[in-house]
Amino acid sequence: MGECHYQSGNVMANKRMTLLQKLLEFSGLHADRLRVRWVSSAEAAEYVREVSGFVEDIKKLGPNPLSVKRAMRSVRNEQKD
Amino acid sequence: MEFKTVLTTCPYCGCGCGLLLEILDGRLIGTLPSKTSPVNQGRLCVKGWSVHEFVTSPNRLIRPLVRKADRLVESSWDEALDLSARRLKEIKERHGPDSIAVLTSAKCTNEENYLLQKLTRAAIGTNNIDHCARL
Amino acid sequence: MSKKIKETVRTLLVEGKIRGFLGLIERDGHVMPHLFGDPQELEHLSLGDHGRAGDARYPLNQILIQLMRAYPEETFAVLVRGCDERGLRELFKWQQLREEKVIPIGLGCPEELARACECEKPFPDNLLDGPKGEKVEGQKVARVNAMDIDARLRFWKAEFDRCIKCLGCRNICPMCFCKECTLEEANLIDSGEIPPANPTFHLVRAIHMVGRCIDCGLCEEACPADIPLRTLYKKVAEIVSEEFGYKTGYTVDEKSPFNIIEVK
Repeated sequence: MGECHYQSGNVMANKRMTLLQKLLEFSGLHADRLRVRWVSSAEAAEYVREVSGFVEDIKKLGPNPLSVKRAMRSVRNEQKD
Repeated sequence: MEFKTVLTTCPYCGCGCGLLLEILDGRLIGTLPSKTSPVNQGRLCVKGWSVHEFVTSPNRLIRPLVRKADRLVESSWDEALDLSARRLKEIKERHGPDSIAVLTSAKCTNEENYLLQKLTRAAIGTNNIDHCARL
Repeated sequence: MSKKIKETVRTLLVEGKIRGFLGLIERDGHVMPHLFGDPQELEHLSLGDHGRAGDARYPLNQILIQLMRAYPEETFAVLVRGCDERGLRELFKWQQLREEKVIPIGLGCPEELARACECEKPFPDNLLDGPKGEKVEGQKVARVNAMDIDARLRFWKAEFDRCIKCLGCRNICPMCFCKECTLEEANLIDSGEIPPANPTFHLVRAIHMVGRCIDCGLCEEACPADIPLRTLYKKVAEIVSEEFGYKTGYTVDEKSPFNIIEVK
């Protein structure tokens, strides 16, 4: 941390992520839907492992309750048209 | 140096929300909702909140414009009013009073709106009058 | 009406220590912000109590920023309650006001108001008049914390979806001093859509309240849709305090976790 090309950029990003996760939880969304990991551009295998793991975990949580509602709304609007 | 707030009524619709215009050295710099107005009790809609913007907007119409050869030209009130009266009369004579309609505005006072309906009904002779806030 | 406050301000004005006192004036039964330059006007001074205690408070610090942008070399006195004093401290840190040019005139809040606000510190340290009230334990955030996660989502959706996007919460906020606002950034927030995309719209503002919100509650009072914004921002303050150990407006020499400006 703090060795980012953008200097303290990852330190700030980490703080924002912590805050946002807590705030999402308070708003009724699982904090696990948001994840931050630090992976260097030279660590392709690590990157794949992280993303695949995240996809697996997200699937377990099921669809985002907000996007379900939004999708329903757009279906309704299409029917109206 | 002078800073003060002036209590006035929102001109945007018929609700009549109380608002405070913030004046710094004679310049209008902002709007606040009046907390003590019994109508809006410290709240405003997005239009009320931005009242100060239109007052000083360079796009604001402050002189009559008359269309001459497809271009709007600044003119005097006398010229604009004479032209309007003449054309309204011509249209009424040729097509009848119901060929004219009047749309008035929530930015006018009650009294101004009354006068306009009087002009429409009594002088022009039509019931074709409506108001933007007749929701 | 507070004699102490009147006398203190009168002396400051007469001795030429300040260019003006930014406070509230009562005229024709209405309370409004006013810059007092003439001691005689103090006869009409109001402390923001109209029907109930503190029901006619205005964002004086926001006006003070405008005054000091126009007159950076002048000194002003300003009426502050506990929350306003916290606001001053943060505005000094964010370099929106200069500490040496501001004289706070402190007013403590009565218990009735402190309770309604669930205020953590209902008096300023520069207390000139009014009570030095006790901290009030909050219930509002705890009540939402106690819901299960789906109930919380339903609760906030119902609240946020009444939003008419008047931007009153931002406009009245004494801590919103940015010249450009994310809430009006067309690439992030759809314009012309009501209610706005929720909870995104309100969470964006909530995140911007980190290290800024001093819990004055003017946003909630200004909301035509009665959205419990204060509960949301109180939660932000709770997170900032628990996760980063920062309490907004309580110190002069600590910077907030998201602030990159060095504090002197």
